[in-house]
Amino acid sequence: MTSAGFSTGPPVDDTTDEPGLVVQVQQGNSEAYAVLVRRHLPRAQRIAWRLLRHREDAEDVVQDAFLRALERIDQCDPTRSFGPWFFRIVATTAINRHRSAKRRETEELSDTDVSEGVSPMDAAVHGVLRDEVDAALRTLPPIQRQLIELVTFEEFTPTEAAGMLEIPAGTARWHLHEARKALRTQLQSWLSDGGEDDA
Amino acid sequence: MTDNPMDRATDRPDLALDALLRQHGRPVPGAALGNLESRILAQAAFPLAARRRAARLGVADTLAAWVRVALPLAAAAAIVAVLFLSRIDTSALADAELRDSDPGALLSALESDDGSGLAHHVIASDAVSGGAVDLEPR
Repeated sequence: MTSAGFSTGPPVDDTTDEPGLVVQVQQGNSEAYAVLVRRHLPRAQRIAWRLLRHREDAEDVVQDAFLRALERIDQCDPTRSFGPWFFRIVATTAINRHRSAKRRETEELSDTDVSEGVSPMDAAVHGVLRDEVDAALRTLPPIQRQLIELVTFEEFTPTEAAGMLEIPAGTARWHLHEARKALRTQLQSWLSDGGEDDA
Repeated sequence: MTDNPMDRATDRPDLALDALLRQHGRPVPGAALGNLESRILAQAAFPLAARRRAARLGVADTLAAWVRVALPLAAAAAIVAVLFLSRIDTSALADAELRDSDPGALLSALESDDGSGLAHHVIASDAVSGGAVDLEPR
């Protein structure tokens, strides 16, 4: 049934709803915790990497975030989804690490950057464009880049991203606006309708 | 704040830009999620065990609290019961004394117009049986 040793409720599996899992974790059910980890680990790892741009740091952050979530699981409202609450912890942990540690600018290149079957010319264009996109993102202030990562790539709403980065929603919108304006300027030649008015 | 027209203007997504970023942004490098999951679960073992222990102690505390409430109540009930039984015994003793007394005198005491005739009779019986009660006629 469970590996918890001490069952404090009904059995859990991958289909158990999140409120039930949270209640079980609050009582120390390790199987319920494992289900939550399996369910949210991939996205947590993506968020941490996008905020830090470093794989090992991202993994450390995710590990810390899961432990912090467990320590604070009593603060998690079981009537709400665990995900948003947990991703905020991930983002906060990542931001704190970003602030406190000296950023290691060296980042390993992705091993999944070019898919098979793409012509060398397309691959070259893709490589150049990826480098330009990456360079453009790096020129943004950290808070703007992090907002672009969360909103554009991870598809959080601006309000959700603001909550994760612990800034007011209005401030997040302004930063997003400024970030998009800067990116449009830098990537203008690659945009089909480049030079669009940003008002 | 969300209804501010300026906010709505700045919220407007740039579809072409977003598409370019998504298509050509650097993908998240693959991670050994299985290994990471194992580390996370291993790290959580102790806190989870502590929670289970706390949950067990919570049950024990609840029982202890019930005992703390129930014991005094039971003691109080026992005291009340003892007092009640002792009163019954006292009444039975008085009855026995009345039974042992002179039926004629008892009857006359009951029939006397003085409401305390019966008590006087009981006291008189005690005096006769060796008690040192000083009975004053009314």
